[in-house]
Amino acid sequence: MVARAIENAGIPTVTLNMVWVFQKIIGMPRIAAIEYPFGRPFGDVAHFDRQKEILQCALDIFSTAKEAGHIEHLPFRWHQDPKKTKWHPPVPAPIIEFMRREGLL
Amino acid sequence: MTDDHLKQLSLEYRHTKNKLPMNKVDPFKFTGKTVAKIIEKRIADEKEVLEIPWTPVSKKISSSKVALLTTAGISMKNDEPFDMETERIKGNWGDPTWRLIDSEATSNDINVNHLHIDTSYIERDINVALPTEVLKKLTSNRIIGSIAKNHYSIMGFQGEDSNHLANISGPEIANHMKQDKVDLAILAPV
Repeated sequence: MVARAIENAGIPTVTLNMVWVFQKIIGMPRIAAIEYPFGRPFGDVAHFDRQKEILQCALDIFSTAKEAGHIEHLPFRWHQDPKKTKWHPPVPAPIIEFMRREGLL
Repeated sequence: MTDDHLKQLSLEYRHTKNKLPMNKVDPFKFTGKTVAKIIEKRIADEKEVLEIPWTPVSKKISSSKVALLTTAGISMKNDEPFDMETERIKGNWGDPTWRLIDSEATSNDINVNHLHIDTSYIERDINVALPTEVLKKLTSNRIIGSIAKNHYSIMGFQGEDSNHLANISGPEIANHMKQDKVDLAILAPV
C-alpha cells in the first residue's frame, strides 16, 4: 500500500517480500520474491555479503522491470531447514487469539 | 477474485511445488500452518488490484539517491515507539503511523516493536530488515549514487483497517521522500 503511494508520487519502488502472492494481489509495482523467514528478508544476522547480494538484486530490478506488476524470484535459499528456523515472537501475536475468539481459526 | 483464482494462488505453491521450476519462491515455506491460514484469509478478503501504479526509472542506478522502508516497527531510541499496547488490547489493530530512521542508524540506535516476529535478530543486526550499513557499502562502491537523509519505518500489521496507512501515512511518507529528492525506494515487509 505504501509502495503504491510512493510510486504514485513519482518515485519507483521495489518491494522485497516472502509472501509475493499477497504483494501481487494488492498491486505492488515491482516485487522481489525471496524464500526467507519472516523478520529477516535481507538475510541472517551478520551475513553481510548475502545481505549485500540481496540488496543489489533488488536494485537490479529497477533496470530489468519493464511493466507494472513485475515479479522477480530471487535465487537465494535460506541456510536452515524450515523446522529449525525460528522467527516466531516469544508470545503469539494478539491477532491469533482474536481470530480464535472469533472462530476464524 | 474468483474462488478458482484464489485456490490457484494459495495452493499452487504448497501442493504442486515439486512440479514447478526450481527458481520459483515458495511463499509458505517458513510460515507454518496457522500463519499460512491467516495469509490465505487475507488473500481471500482482498479484492485483487488490477490498476498498478508505475513510475519509469529516469536515472542511472549509480546516480540515484536511495531510501529504504521497513515494516518492522523500528523507531529511533529518541523517538516515540510504535504502539503495541493498543494492539495487545484490540488484537485486530496495528499502529498506522510512521517513523523516520536516521540513515546512519545501527542496531544500537533503535527500538523494534513488532508482535508478529522475533525482533531479537533485528536488534542484533539492523541489516536483516533495514540494511543501512549495507547501503553505505554500496555507496562507497559507487553502485548507487547516494543515500537518503532518512529511511522509513511502519508497522506492517494493520488488522482490519488499513485506510490510515494507505491514505494518510503512505502519502505523507511519499511526500517526505520527494522533499529529500529520493530517486528510488526499496521496501521490505517483514
